[in-house]
Amino acid sequence: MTIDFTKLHHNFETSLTSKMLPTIWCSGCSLGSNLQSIIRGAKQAGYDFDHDIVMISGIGCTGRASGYVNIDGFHTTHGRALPFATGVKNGNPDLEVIVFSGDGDLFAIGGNHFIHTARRGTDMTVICNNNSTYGLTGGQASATSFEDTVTPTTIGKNDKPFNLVDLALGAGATFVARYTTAQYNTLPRVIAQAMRHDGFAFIDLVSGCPAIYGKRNGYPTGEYMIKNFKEASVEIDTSDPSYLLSENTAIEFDRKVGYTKIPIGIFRSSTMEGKF
Amino acid sequence: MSEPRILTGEHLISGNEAVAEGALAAGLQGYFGYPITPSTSIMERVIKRIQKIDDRISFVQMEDEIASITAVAGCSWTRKKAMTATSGPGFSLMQEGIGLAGFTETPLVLVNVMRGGPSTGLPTFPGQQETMQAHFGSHGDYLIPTLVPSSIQECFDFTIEAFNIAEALRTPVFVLSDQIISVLKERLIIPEADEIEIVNRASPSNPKITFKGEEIDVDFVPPHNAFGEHEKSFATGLSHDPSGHVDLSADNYEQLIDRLHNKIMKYQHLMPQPDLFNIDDAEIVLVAFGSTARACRRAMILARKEGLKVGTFKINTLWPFPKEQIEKVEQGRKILVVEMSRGQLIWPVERYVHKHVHHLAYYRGQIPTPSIILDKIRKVLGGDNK
Ligand SMILES: Cc1ncc(C[n+]2csc(CCOP(=O)(O)OP(=O)(O)O)c2C)c(N)n1
Ligand code: SF4
Ligand SMILES: [Mg+2]
Repeated sequence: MTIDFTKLHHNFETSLTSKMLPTIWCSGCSLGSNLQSIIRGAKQAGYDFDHDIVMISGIGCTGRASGYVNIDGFHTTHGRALPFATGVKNGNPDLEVIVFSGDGDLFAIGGNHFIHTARRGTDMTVICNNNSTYGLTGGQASATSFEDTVTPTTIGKNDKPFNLVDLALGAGATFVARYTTAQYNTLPRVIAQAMRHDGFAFIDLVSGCPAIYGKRNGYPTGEYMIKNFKEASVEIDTSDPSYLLSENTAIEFDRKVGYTKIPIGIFRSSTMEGKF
Repeated sequence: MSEPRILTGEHLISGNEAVAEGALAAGLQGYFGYPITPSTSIMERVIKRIQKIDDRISFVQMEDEIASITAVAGCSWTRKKAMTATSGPGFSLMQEGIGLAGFTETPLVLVNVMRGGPSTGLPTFPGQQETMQAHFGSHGDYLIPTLVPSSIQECFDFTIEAFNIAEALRTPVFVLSDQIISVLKERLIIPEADEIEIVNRASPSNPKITFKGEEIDVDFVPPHNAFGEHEKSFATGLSHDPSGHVDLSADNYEQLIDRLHNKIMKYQHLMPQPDLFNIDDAEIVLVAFGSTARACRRAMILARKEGLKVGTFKINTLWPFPKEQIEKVEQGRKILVVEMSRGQLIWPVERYVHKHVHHLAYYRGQIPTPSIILDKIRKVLGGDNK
């Protein structure tokens, strides 16, 4: 069946750069839904898409997002979204800066930039499309791939994955949250909150790459993935301070069935003296 | 106590300090950097000064040079004049961002104060070993204007030129200085503010700009649609169409690569032209830039006292190379390239000079003294072809 894309309409059509559609993303991928959550979040937060918001991304399947939203944007080199965003925010502090990029981009090649940008507290919202793999280059292991999963670059076991919530808390991010693609009703509100946060806000947006990583590791379709996210998500109990311990923030995964535990919620939302 | 941005008057300052003053005079609005000898005093001077200037000028000490150049590019996309300065190892790390900035037509200035390499090399001694890296250091085909000062006055003047070229042509511009000039103190004259030409990049609402009296052609240099200006501005390091969006098709890519090259070549004549000394009757012409060009001029004067007919071709814009001028000068004359490298400046010279080029390659972390150059001149004129 051939689809005539000129006849299709999308709820957020005016928020997208129509000439760039369809996206390069596979069907079932988290990315379409996640981008929609970001657009809804930005609208909820009240930003004017014509001039006061800019999206910076790196390289990867996720990186292409900045070219799909109809706002100011820049698609930087691999790993460099954060230093570019630092330059933008310093150049024009009135702009709301969103960084949307992959786990490989932000935490492998760009890992050093992440800890330093968080440490400086530069006012921006960083959303990691954390699919635990290098989607664009064919599903190789990333810094958040789970130990017992299989990728073309795995020999035996992968190295231990980063716990991004733990990392962001340690690096000094003042707003830290984690949700999955499946919380598409909650996400816009959380994203809006992150955007309004005065300081460095980080969201570990647990996502899937069903076409490659998922197929090899227990969640072969988008449909299964969403169900899996819903079942594995556990809302954190912030009344018990132990929710911040690494072992309580860590994601658990089983190669046969997919995610088995994903602690979700807002882990930190502290006010600090904003940089701008 | 606030200080003016432009310190009109006479000063006795170093090359690095003059670079910082040039940047401020040109309208610097953002500096992002990482310390490295012998460039650090540029950053320190900028920081010291911006705290006393009333305008908002941002500064961030970044985590490395990859981050520094990338942040400079980000700042530039908010229509701000931004720069960084570094030396050899940092220049290597910046190559990725240089390619990105060139390909996305991002105006910025990068000052590279050359020391001896490779690797950590000779941190506190001079070199001229980034001559080719300035041209070919990042992957892909691109061309970045590269200015090479050899005096403290030129450190100031060429930094302003660099910002103006960057703004006029929407391109990164390099200033390649070296360790000797960085610390050398000389007289600097800073003119009155209204005597300094300042160029600001074109925008969609103000597409016509002039540089040195010449209108910049928008077919070669599209106006910059910066962030926050209602333009839905977008750029990518992937091949892109005129709107900035991804387009990997063959014709589009070829046209883009050509335009980016042609816009620099078209306005080459607006960049600092070579200085020619005693060329008319010269039997031999010394070709050099930066601090070695100073030594060459001194050697020329000493040689003339001995009755040797020596001229000097002092390069001021290294890239694009002053091809036409050197072709004129070489006719009927011997050419001697003098450089602090085992052999880099010799490459473009050999390309455009259609005969044997003599070479004084001096790579000892020291400048070749006028007497060393004079010895070489005597040998060459005496028929020694080595
Ligand atoms: C310097 C550099 N190294 C490697 C690559 C190749 N590369 C492109 S995307 C990518 C990984 C992307 O993974 P991630 O950031 O997780 O994004 P995803 O595709 O999963 O959304 C790599 C290694 C590159 N473009 N640049
Ligand atoms: S390769 Fe994976 S991450 Fe990339 S678009 Fe396809 S499903 Fe999504
Ligand atoms: Mg990924």
